[in-house]
Amino acid sequence: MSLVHYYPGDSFFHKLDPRVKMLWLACMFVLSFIFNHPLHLGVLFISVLFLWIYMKIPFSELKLFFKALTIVAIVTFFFQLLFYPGEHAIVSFSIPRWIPYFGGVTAITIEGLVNGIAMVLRLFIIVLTMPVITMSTSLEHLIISLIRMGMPYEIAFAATTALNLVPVLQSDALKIIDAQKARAFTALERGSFKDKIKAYVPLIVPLMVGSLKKGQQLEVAMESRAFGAYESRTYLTEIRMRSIDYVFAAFFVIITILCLALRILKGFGAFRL
Amino acid sequence: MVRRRGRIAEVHVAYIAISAAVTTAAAYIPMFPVIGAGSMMSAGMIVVPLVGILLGPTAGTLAVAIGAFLGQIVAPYGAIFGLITFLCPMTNAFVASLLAFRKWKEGICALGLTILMWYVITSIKWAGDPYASVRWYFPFLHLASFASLLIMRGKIGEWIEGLDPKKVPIGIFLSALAGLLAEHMVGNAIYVGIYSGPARVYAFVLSIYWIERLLGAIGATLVGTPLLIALYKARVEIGPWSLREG
Repeated sequence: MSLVHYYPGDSFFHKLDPRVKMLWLACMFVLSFIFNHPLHLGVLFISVLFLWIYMKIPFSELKLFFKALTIVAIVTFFFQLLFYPGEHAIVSFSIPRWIPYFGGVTAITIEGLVNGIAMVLRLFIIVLTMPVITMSTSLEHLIISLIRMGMPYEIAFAATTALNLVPVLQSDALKIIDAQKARAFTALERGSFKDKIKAYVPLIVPLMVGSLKKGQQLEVAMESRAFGAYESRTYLTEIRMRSIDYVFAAFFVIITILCLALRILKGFGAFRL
Repeated sequence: MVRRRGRIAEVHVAYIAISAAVTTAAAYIPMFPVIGAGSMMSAGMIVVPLVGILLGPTAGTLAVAIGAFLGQIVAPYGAIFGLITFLCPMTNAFVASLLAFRKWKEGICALGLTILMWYVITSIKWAGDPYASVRWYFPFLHLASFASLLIMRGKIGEWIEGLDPKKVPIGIFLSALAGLLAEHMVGNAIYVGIYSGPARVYAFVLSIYWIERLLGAIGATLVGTPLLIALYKARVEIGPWSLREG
């Protein structure tokens, strides 16, 4: 089972060159950083959600994200709500000073509320945009696009090999845990906190030594196949930018620069009371 | 200098790939909960500085960068800083490896830069915040680590390379701690920069982070000491004794 969740499709976004998708990702990151008004961030968030739906990514994936981010989002929101310095109080109260960390908080302000919503939206935008690319682009195309952008082939090879080896190492880790349990080693489950920290030694040391031994074997296999013998190499799959890719790349860049200029000159996307 | 094919900074690509895979896999082994964040610290906290110590500043940092980046792709809901999340563990491996490979000046500069970045970003983002003064004493452990590195200098690398069972743990502890603290500083600076983390939150984090980082460094020491000695005896061609030039 592949670790990377890729959902092939026929949508317009699926067909875009991976490099243009990465440019889109960078632009979305910049835009989410430029804006701090919940309205503008909300528009960005809805556009990302729309892409998820348009690309027909299963709802179970989105649910997984929301589930994983719920606590971080709630903590982020409440930190902003209670601690963001503001002048326009919505609700005034007084938390006794003797209460640790929260003591002395006297009001929930509009600035805190708005900033809380904005930061949660920013969190979801930043986290939800990257999977749009990985779920709409095969790993092969993703790696080739990175190579075309100048990444050395050795790094691309290391990345794809590492991805293929992760399930093998996870399986090795489980085998090591079972082998230790068969030797009545149960500190990982039942020991004190100190025992649990020590318990990672008989897990991680064999895992790393075994992995590096595998690395030795891989090195021999690669050398026997003359890895790196040629400076340049060909690939089974190629990617080429089409004119529509250039058009969209230019569109993303122009929109980002425009928004940045408007933000600086006119305060577009900034929250002000 | 003739570049040996299939190698990056004298480390074969196979070791970089394996170490990247170990970094990604370790992120799935939970260790202890992060208080207040609703998530778990993983064994990656132990593995990342050790990968840096074993493979060196270039290959080790690259392996961790690849592993962390793959982790973002495999489990993107954990990448709360988006595409740049991998910069944090990458900084960890970089600083730890510089100290282990006797490039202590560069290591100290790298840690110092992360602390400086924290002061600059918090000075900008917390302007007008009544609790902004927390930024000065928040990195107390980072400053203590910085000071200890200035005192120890190249001894950390000597101890790790010498493989003396009494001195290796100290070397690993100091380099892993410096790496973990550098990672922590980068993460906090990014959090304040992107999510406008308010100053008051850090009064809360102040009482917790030093425990987490010290536990991570202790874990790296407990795992790293037998690991380095085992790898040396197994004649695996990595580690400061094998890779360091001159």
